[in-house]
Amino acid sequence: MLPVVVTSCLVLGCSSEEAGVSLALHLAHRPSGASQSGPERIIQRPNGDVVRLTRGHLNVASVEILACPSTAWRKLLEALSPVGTARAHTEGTPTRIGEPHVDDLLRDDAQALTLGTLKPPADRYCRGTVLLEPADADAVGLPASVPMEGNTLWLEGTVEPAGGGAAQPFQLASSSEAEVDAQFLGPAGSPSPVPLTTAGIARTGQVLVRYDRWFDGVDPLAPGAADALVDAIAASLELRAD
Amino acid sequence: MRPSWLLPALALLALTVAGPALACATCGCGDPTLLSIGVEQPFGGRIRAFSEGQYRTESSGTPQTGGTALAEWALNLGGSYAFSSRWALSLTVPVLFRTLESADLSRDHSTNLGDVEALAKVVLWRDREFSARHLFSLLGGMRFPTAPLQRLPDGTVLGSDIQAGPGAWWFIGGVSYYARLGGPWSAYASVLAYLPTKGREGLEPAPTGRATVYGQLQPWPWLSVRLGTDMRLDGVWHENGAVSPDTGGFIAFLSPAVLLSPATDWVIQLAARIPVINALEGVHTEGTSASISLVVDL
Repeated sequence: MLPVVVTSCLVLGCSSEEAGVSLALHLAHRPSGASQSGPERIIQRPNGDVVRLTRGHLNVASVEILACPSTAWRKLLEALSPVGTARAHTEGTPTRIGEPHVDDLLRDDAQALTLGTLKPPADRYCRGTVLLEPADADAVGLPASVPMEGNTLWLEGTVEPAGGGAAQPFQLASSSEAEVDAQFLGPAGSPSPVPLTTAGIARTGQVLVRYDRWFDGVDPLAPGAADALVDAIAASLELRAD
Repeated sequence: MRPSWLLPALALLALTVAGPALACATCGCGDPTLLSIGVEQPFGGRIRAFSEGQYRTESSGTPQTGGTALAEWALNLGGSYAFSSRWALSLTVPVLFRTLESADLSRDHSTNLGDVEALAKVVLWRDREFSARHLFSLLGGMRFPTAPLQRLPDGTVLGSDIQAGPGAWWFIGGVSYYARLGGPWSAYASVLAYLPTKGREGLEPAPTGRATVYGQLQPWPWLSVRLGTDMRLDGVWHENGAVSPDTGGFIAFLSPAVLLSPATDWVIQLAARIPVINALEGVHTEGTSASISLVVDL
């Protein structure tokens, strides 16, 4: 038996793999109140106006995770190391998902959108950056029903004034860009680094879309609302580690 | 995966292949110098068998760009046969045990045959037929794509860094010069060029040049010490039409060795290669390698 195994190894090759560290990232809708589903999302502004979103898409261009700052001791080790530690951005790196994903805002809040799985260098990760920018033709989930290509955000809905009166329809599209740098938060909402330091560890992280906060400071009927919303959306994003 | 059986295997192999010598090799060529495989003076019917265990390390890239570190144990088996005092043929069959560690702490292991290499040596000029002091030779051969394509059990093809060969045919050509300088001194120099065809899985290996120069001192018939340099000049590889990062460049090693002859026609060589000039492209380093080999004239 042994000669057969040895011969097949030599001729065909024998290989095996031991898993390293990994972080699966998902995009999830997480309003402050109850989760929503169905054909519209209902959001109440601080002034009492009610915004009903009937269609909406947001392009998440990339997500990158950032290691916790080096300690003084580690900085010394890095300085002594003959191996360089360049931190240049590229299209695809072990710490960055560069494949754009278009999020359908009417997707059931209970369903998360999988962005990808990172296999980053072993380290503790404290922060992440999320980039919102116009979708290209290769974006995952690009809708056919609305002109999302070339846009970062596309929204359609109505605003019902707090004092009563007819609902005002709106349709917004923006090609502006925004980037948010956020800390990873634990289940309790406090900063919680993600330790990816032991081989075999597979963790999950989430980019949380807090759509109920988008209109806190932005009136969708006001001029320039589309670009202002992209900034407001970026500011409302959160990173969670499970 | 360190093959703990490597050294016993070397010894066993040598004992297996080494029958009683009919006549000593030194007597056959009039050169008592202890020499590695391929360096020896050919004479008609000379057969040498060798086995070598080698360990080396190599790393490329940075953690942020998916850098990897390779550790390789190699068991090289082979032999040479001299058809006459003018030309000889040698064959090297490598068996490789490789571990590739990535910055994400994942590890790939592979065990397989490497690329088999055949090299012919034609003596173009020697100062005298017997007990020659100067030999100038032409070298030519082929490295064959015998290393299998490595896949995981689910069929996924492993990355090019862990593959034992690119799947290319390499044409080899070069020259060598061997000199007995008088007394216990000798010297050897060689230059070889490797010219590859296209490989598999989109790999396009680049031509590489190798040079070796060393001097050797043999104070006693059973002991030699050697000091020299091995140099390598690599072209830049391509993968799927794009430049393969951290490939190409120049590296030079300081290469000390000790050669022992415990019995007639047996040579044990302990050697190291210490990188002293690293001008490899990108982030690419090679560590000190060590080897032990046994050469037996049959």
